[in-house]
Amino acid sequence: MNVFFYSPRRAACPNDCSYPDCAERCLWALRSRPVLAAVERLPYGALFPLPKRAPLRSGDLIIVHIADLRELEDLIDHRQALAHYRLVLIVSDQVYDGSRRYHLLNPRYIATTRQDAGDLETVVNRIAQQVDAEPEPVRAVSH
Amino acid sequence: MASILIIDDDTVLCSMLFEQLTAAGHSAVGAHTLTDGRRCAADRSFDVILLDVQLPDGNGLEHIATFKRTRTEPEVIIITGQGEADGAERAVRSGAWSYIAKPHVIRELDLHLARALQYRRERQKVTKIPVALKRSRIIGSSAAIGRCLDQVAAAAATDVSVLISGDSGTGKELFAKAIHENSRRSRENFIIVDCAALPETLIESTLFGHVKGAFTNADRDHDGLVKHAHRGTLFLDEVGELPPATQKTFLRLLQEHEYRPVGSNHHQFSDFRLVAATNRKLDELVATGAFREDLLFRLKALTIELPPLKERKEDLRELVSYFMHDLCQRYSLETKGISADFLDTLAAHDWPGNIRELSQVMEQVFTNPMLGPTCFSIHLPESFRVMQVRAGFQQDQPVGTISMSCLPPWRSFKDQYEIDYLQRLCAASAGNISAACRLSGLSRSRLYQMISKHGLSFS
Repeated sequence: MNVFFYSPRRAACPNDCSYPDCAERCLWALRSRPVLAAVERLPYGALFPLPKRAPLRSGDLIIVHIADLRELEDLIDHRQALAHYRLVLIVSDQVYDGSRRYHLLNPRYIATTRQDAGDLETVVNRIAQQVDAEPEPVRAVSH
Repeated sequence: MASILIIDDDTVLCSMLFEQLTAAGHSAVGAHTLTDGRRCAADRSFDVILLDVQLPDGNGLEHIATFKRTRTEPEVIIITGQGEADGAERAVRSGAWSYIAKPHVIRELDLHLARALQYRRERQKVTKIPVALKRSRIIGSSAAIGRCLDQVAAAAATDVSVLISGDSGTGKELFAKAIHENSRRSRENFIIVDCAALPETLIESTLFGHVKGAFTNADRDHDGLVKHAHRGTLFLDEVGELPPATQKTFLRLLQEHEYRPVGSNHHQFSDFRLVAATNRKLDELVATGAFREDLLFRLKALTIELPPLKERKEDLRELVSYFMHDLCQRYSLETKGISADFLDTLAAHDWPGNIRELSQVMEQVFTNPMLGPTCFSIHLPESFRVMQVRAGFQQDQPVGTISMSCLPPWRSFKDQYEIDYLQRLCAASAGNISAACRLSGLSRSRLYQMISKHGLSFS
């Protein structure tokens, strides 16, 4: 299982951005954790529609950052495309308190942007361990 | 009042029962042979059938299932002159409502009938199956999957807790979602709690929420998932992974539907419906003390056991077509054809990772740059094809070879075969005893006996 980071919003903030709901800042905080250091960021718009050479495979885990309700609604519109992946959401307080429609995305875990990245690291690590314990499917394509 | 069919070759008893039933306001019909009885049951609707055991053209006990399968699915009450424990047990196991010995039938019939009719009325309320079951992404029309969907329909019509068990990748979450979407709670939230993902330090605040100041960083009130599940469905995935301390917390929640956010002094109430799923054998965990028996009792008011893919290979074509269509849509490609050799190769595999593994293999086929308008087995991942070829080669090899000049004693040859078989069985079932029993057809005790006999480790 690979772990990716996705934000519907294109952000060009520097790593020292202080805006609490900034996706770039969130990714920087995640990558500072050992387990999440290699998290790959999916390009803006990468999921809809999915390019044939996309690195994503069914069952991969995507950490989705949702800063506002508009982003949430965009994702809900495309929830069929997201149904193939394990989702962990990081939502702003505005989203967490303003709507519970994020449950339509069937997330495995929901964190808020204020939450410590260490919590998320633990959760992702445990999901990865669980997946590793499953019967090994056929992997590695070599044509 | 009820409609009742009496099947008994004793004409005197038959007419006595007829009079008793019509006097009580029921409508009754009599038949003196199984053939006549079956014809009546096929032509008319009955609520209850009173069935004799020894009939001129057969044994009534052997036809209980046939009568129960008729249109109105009547309750069957066995009446017999030969009251014996084995016959009664067989009747109950065959699905009969109850068993009355003939000397007591006139006296006891009213009570048995009243109870059967009361149950029937309740059952009709409970098992009112939705006209069209929403089964989003549950693919297949095999008998095995049909039985599971019937259980989904029955579960959706009630509010009882459901435990869904099955190997990894069999679609437990999809079935849980289907129960929610077909239930009266479908307009509310379907909340997933991944029990395996939550560490003990996070579980309470995630489920119950917290109030401002409950702990460091708790700078505002925060609702938990149990509150979000109010009037909806709470889905506990991988419930077998819950640590013991958390099991106790869950048990309290399931009993009371009350919880207290972390740091709060006030209890809150949540009206949620519980669906749980696991790939573990919870009965075995209870036996080892790793899972609370009282919690298991709460969870499994209704159970649905999902079949592994290798037990419903007749669904393979439908599944492949579905994944094909889905992938073509996902990658904006034209629909591809499927060759027979492609399906044959897939059908020869055992699919230990079940539907999830099939979906991943199909995905890999789509990333093959050589894929044209039709999928051939050559487009399957090389590792998959190699594994298939090797498996076929192994199947063709004899387990052991016997030299004519040096014939071993029968016992040692048999032992060698048994050891070889057990080792293969262990590999095929990934060391899972239940799966091994299913595969081999051996009983659990027999399997343990053989493992112990040869001093093998089955893990």
